[in-house]
Amino acid sequence: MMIRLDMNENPYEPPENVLDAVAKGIRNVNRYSELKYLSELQKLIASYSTVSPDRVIVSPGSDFLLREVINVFSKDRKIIVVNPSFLPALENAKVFSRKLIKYQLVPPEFKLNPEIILRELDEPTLIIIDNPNNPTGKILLDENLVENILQSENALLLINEAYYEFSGFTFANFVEKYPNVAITRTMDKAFSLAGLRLGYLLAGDYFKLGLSDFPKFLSGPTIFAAIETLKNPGYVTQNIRKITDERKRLERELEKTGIEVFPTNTNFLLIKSAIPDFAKILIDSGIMITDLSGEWLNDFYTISIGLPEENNALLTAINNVITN
Amino acid sequence: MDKIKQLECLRVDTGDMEIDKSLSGFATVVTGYKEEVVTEIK
Repeated sequence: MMIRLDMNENPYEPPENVLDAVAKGIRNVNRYSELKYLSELQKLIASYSTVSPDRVIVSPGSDFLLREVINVFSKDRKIIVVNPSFLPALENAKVFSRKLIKYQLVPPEFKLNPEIILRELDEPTLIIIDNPNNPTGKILLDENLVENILQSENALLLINEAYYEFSGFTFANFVEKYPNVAITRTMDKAFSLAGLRLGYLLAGDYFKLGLSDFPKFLSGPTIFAAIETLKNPGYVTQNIRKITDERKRLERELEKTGIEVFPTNTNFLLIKSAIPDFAKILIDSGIMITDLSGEWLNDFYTISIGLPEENNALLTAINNVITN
Repeated sequence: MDKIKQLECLRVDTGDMEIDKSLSGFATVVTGYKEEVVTEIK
């Protein structure tokens, strides 16, 4: 069986009480989800994110929210994103937007130049930045830059915080203050619910108005699992600690092999390896990692933090490649 | 677009170091219809 270290998933299953909640949702699967449970979930997400419930928009995965934001807000605007990042619908958005600008992130620091970003705000602009960035794992935004962006009447800013629970860094508090900011997050990663797909958006006033007709729907199993998780989040904290500890171990072990490993704020590592066909060789050993060449710089890869035994298998495979 | 996104920077080499220096910094490069890349020139 293939070891998947290419999807940035959480390797730990949710606990029994969450699986019981999924089963509770399945028992009513002949019915549409009841809005009262969706409202309860919105309130729990709002409390978790310290925003008011009317600012919470839920979706089957944050990709739908990103796609909706791009579709609704890109018309006659310039779109700024960073490269690399994995965003849906950008090619289609070029039809209606003024233009698409990709800001190239480069090693070793992978940082944004604030002056360059602010200089572009001379016309209506939609900026979409994942923070931390996937795949560099780097925090790209600081409070000063975000404040400066949001003070421009031309700017709309969407910050994707899919890895918030690992970085501990958020701009969620800005949505009460600024109308032109929105935050997307997911329960796919830290909450171990990738298979159920639950993304949510925290909307400043402008985004809230523009997304007011976004369909309110999630499946029953997803709603019940998310409610249970948010009421009893202890396992999330424990799993983050385990993943972070394992990440540090994997980082140390990879560095011993001569592979360059970059600091990260997520549940995956960005590495650089000059070994030819590195990802293909690992597939032959039954391990999948993400090869970023083609989409970005050559010789860069990401590795999700797996279970200790999966990470050990990876290290064994890499050591075999090096010694052979 | 495909090629530039695989580059860490663009290089200038005019033969005159002063001109090279004056051309360095960030640049917006048109890479396609309605598409640009911001990258560094060194």
